[in-house]
Amino acid sequence: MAVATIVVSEGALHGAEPPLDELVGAAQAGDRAALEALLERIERRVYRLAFRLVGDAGLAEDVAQEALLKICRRLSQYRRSMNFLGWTYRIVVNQAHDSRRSASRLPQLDRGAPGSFDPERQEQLRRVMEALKVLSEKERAALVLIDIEGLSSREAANAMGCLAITARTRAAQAREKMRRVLSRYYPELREAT
Amino acid sequence: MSENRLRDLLAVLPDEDESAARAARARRRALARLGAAAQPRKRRLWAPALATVLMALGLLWWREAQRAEPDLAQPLQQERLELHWVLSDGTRVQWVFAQDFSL
Repeated sequence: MAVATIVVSEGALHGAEPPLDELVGAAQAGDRAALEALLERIERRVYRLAFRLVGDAGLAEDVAQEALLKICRRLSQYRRSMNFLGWTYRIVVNQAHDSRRSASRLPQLDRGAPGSFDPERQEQLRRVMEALKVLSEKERAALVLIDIEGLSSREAANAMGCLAITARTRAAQAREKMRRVLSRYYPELREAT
Repeated sequence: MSENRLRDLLAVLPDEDESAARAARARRRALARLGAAAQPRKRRLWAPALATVLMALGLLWWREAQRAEPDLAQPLQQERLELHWVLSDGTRVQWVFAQDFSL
């Protein structure tokens, strides 16, 4: 018995999303719908980065809100020669820096922690966030951008406003500190790399 | 291996649903603030236009009032105007204006 298999891509079913650059161009031209779609496309990335930089869900939401607003307001300054996500990351990193300085509250992981969240993962997250506190703000940004967000050291340096070698060094130092702190809970991290 | 393990640990995030909800809320608020910031700018454009129109209307009303003034002053031509002042030292002053407003 012959079976015919038809493969339909998700994009074909739901309508493929326009490329990011296309959305940016339309938003720059004043298309409000494109601006909203653009923000919708990057909002999670922005929030995730903000959360990792400030370590607090509530504060990260505030940072994300301010950063998204700045992205809207400064969109006319963005040039196609730049990397849009790199440009966005720079705004988020700067906003996180400003918010941490002005926020009187210290990062508290339990703020807004959901009840349905897997307790083991929650504990893991708590430990990581505790460990991140031993890092300086710059080390933390370098680690998050390079090791977690997967940016190249040049892109991370661009977002942080420093040299690529500086970003790489900061990330390496941060990695080492994190390994030292987290190896108390995860002995496998002691293994030589 | 420990490098990968560290990366896995660092990659852990709060609940995906909560993150998505917070991210969406941040976007909605940012867009609302962007809209609110644009509103006063529109108002700032309307304000001078409104002020100009009001001033023009005021000017028209004043000119009409000026034109109507001789009619109001008409009855005064039939009468004389007397002013009586008593100064603090007891001096009394009496001014009488005739029809042509000469003293």
